Amino acid sequence: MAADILKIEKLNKSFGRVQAASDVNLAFEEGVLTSIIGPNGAGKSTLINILSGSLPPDSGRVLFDGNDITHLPVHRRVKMGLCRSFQLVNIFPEMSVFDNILLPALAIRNRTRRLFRSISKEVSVHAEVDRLLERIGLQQEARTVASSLSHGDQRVLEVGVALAAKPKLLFLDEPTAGMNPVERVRILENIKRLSESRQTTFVLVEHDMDIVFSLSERVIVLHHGEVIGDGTTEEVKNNPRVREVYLGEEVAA
Amino acid sequence: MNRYLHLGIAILALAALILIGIFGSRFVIYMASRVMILSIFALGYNVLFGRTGLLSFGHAAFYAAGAYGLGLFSLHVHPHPLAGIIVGVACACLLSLIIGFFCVRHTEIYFAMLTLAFGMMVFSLIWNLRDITGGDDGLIGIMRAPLSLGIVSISIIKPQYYYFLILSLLAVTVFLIYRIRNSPFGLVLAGIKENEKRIAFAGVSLKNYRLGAFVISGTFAGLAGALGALLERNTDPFSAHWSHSAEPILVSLIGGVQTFAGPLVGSAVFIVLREIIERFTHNWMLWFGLILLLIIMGFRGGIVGILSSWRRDDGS
Repeated sequence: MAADILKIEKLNKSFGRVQAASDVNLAFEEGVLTSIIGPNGAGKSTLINILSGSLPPDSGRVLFDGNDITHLPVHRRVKMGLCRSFQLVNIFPEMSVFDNILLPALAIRNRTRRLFRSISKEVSVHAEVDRLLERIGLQQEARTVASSLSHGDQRVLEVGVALAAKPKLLFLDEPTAGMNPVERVRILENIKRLSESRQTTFVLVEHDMDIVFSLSERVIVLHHGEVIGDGTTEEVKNNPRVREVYLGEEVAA
Repeated sequence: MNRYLHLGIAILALAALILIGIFGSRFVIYMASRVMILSIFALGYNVLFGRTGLLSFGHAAFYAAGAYGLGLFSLHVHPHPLAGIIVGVACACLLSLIIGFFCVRHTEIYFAMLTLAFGMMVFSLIWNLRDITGGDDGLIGIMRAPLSLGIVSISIIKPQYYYFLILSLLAVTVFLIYRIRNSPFGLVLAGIKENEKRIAFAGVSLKNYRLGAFVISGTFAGLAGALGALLERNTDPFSAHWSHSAEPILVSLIGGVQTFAGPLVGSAVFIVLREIIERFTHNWMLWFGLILLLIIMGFRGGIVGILSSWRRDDGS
């Protein structure tokens, strides 16, 4: 069995009276494509925000690769290999598509402290960026200013920016929202291939059940900040508690 | 093609400045010296303002740190101008590191107000520490001693000779800032301006890079201050006043915040325009304000920004 890449111990977070995470204990195995689902307000976003470092938990611990990262700032976690993408487009709008990818690719290699070196001399990183652009299908748009891309392409770029940081573990927050079917297939194939090559462990937050059940090896169901279901797609589909609170008729039918 | 055009313009500008240095009258040389010093101030400032998107109202403090650093060193330790400039620049660098450390934790209006507060503190220190800084008189009698480098010794006592020292340091500044803009570091600064929420998720420490930009701009402000003190042969406490911090902002806006050459063009326009208006009226601020209004409202993107967008329209 593969090692746990991320471990969460007794995580709690509340906003006023709303319990967004209550005693969450989870472990994510390396290479297992996992989806987190749950109705609106189940605490999915809060969980991702805590794990990626945007929100401090009230109590509990987060261990990444065996190191306690509970109190590390975002950029340190990214350097260690824990990254995320966003549900809303969150790119560098006035930069070219190429530079959007180049920035994290340079940062992750600790090249951004180079003050007087011309950026055009970072040849190896440039080749890397070209490869990534080809993989996500944006190589034709490399020189385009990011904000003038179509919405779907901006979503693709959003995932690309996250991938450029070469994460070991990547949270994708509704990665295919707003994409057309072609883009969706391309991104999902990318996720699948990267996951199978064991370079990156993916954790998806998704609303689209087709995607969740076709892609995931493991599904975690959240409800009111609690884990109410955890297992293979079959197990979760057959879990009575899950059917009751969330999936309801859709799966029963 | 673009690159050759820029290089061509740079060579032309350098040639013009050299010709001014050789053939210009005393007055023209003095004015051009001031333009170049303001250019250094504004070029450095624009790394923070135009590139990183942070508006500071406290950079006069670093200008003054350069001026007083040089002045004190030259009056009390040694009058060697290069050593004085290095001391002045080091003072500004250190001061901007300290002040920046506190300021970069905040953004937007909070950042701007903090820089203003620190700037005012520095001004009142300079104003009140009469024994050290000379208070409202400033430091007077700073010598422009010969620039001795081992066996060669170059006199800079004549404004014309000193002009060429400023010109060489301006050239160094332009080169360094150009390199910084086109380095991986410069890309991160642009990323901070574009989307500071995302930049951390690219694996970049927002605070450290903001501080880096702050110190770079403060250091060049110090260089400008040291050169200014040598030009006037005294220091002026009002060079630390917050109103002086507005100069690089105005200059960048006139020339074009988003452009590299904007601060250079803006400095020339600012100083020449001010000089012309002052000849006609004492109310130079009123007229200057009106002209600024026109430039900022009519030429969004500044003079250089407008020119390059015209060229792009023609070209493609």
